[in-house]
Amino acid sequence: MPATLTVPSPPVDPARPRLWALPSVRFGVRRLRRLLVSLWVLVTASFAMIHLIPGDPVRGALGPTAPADLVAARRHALGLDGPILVQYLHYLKGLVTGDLGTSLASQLPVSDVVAQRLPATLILAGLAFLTAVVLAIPLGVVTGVLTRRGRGRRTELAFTTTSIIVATIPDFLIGVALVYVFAIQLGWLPVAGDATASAYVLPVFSLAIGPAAILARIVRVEMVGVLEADFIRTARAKRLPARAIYVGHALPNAVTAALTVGGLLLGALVAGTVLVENVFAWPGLGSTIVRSIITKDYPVVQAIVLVYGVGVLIVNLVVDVAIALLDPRSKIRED
Amino acid sequence: MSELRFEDVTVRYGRTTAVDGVSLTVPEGAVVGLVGESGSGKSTLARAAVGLAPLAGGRITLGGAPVPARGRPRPLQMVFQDPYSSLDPRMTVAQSVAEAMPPGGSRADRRAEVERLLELVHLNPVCAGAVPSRLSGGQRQRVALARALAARPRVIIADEITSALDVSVQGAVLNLVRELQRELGLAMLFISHDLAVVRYVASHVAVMRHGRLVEQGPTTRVLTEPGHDFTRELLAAVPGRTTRRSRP
Repeated sequence: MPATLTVPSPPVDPARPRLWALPSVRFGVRRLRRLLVSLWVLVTASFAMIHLIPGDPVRGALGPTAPADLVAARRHALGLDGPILVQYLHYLKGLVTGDLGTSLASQLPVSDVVAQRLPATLILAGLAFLTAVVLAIPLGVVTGVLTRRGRGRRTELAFTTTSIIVATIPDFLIGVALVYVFAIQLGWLPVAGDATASAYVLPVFSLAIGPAAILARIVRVEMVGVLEADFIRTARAKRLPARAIYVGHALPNAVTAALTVGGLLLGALVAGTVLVENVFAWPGLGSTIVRSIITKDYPVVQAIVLVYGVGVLIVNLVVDVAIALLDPRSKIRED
Repeated sequence: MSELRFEDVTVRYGRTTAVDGVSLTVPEGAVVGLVGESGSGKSTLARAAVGLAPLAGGRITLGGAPVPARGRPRPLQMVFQDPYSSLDPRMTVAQSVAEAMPPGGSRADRRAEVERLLELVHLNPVCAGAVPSRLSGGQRQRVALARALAARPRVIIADEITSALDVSVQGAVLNLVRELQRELGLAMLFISHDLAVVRYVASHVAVMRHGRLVEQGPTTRVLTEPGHDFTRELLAAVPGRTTRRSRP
């Protein structure tokens, strides 16, 4: 039997691929789907929080001496006396319309509290992230170059030891230490608040130092790895100047992995603001959430948990998109 | 005058002597094949010439003067074995080639020069915008050659440039090397462990063993009337070879 070869005709005009066939569109849709699922889990968890707390949140907030009819009235006002499914749908409806409930403590709309406190936290986290990157990349590149191919053993030991110690100290302890040295002993910088530009220095650094140490370690390891690569040998054999080898060839190849870790660190850094804000009495969400937990102001706690969660989700989304755009070899775009 | 001359070159790595007092001349416009087993010091000799391995003794001169270590011009260029890793994965073909070009000229001039170089190595100039991962092994090795030629070298060192490629692609790259060498009048040190390949491209051949040069001379003479036992061993090891005088 003679072999026959049938070539199936393509279903669509190959010159104009269907929108769904484009890798970037597929990536975008898939990533968006994941975001929506995470968002749903986050919203449901923050809703469940108020019901999982042992005891009656309203009784807890109003105190043991509050009259029973006041507690009942407040429960009714908060919608806590209806069936749980109705409460859940009511909560979702509130989120969609921007209604986050009313603060038990101040009777202000929760959305106003969040809107008032959010900018300070965003500025703190953003500045801390920039500082971490600006510190970490040059440090990682220089130590990477100094310790390439088994050179500089002592430098390597000193760097890895110091950086791991710094990275494991909790940021609020770094904050306390910085306050003690620079604000109390030396008196160079303010102890707390955000009134002046100099007041930003200590909170930003106490948030940035830990992530900077981790990021610098990653950049160093990536640099050492890249400097072993054959294309670096090619560049050396080309007799390129050192700057062109390190900045032109090694750095772009080393930062992609650093970017992934950097994004995860930014997520952690957003969460780190909770404790650091309390050290420095920073007027942001972090100090508000702790105060609200103490006063059992559950609607505010719920809303701030939601804001932090959404913040981390957005950071992860931005990092994924940035990697997909920056690294043509990234597997992230594939299934 | 662009004669590449190794004079009593010695390279040591710790206590190991990788290259031991080698003297070898690559005359202007000639292709010298350098053969030997793995670990015989062939690649180390090449690396010493481009400054990747430190000299423990002797000297390497190009046209009578030491090979310039930094800056321009860069008259000695090297092409490496593995085209899958020797190109920067984040640079496009055009960037890789242009980086080695002498400075100056307008953007359009430089682009035209990149296209000319790609055509010289029989690559479609459309490839200029591609990153290496989009290219085949043979195409990448052509890019590596174009990159080396971009520096306008007088001598090229080719270190096992075909051994990472499929046999069919090897032939095409070897033909390209011969053609380029003839057209441009380049001198070339062609390193290979494959005697058939060396016989195809080189007019002279040198044989290395344990870091020393054991024999050198015109290719036909060395391969037909080897003067050293080790050369005879190498020849006997060529697969499919029945008589010592058979022609390819």
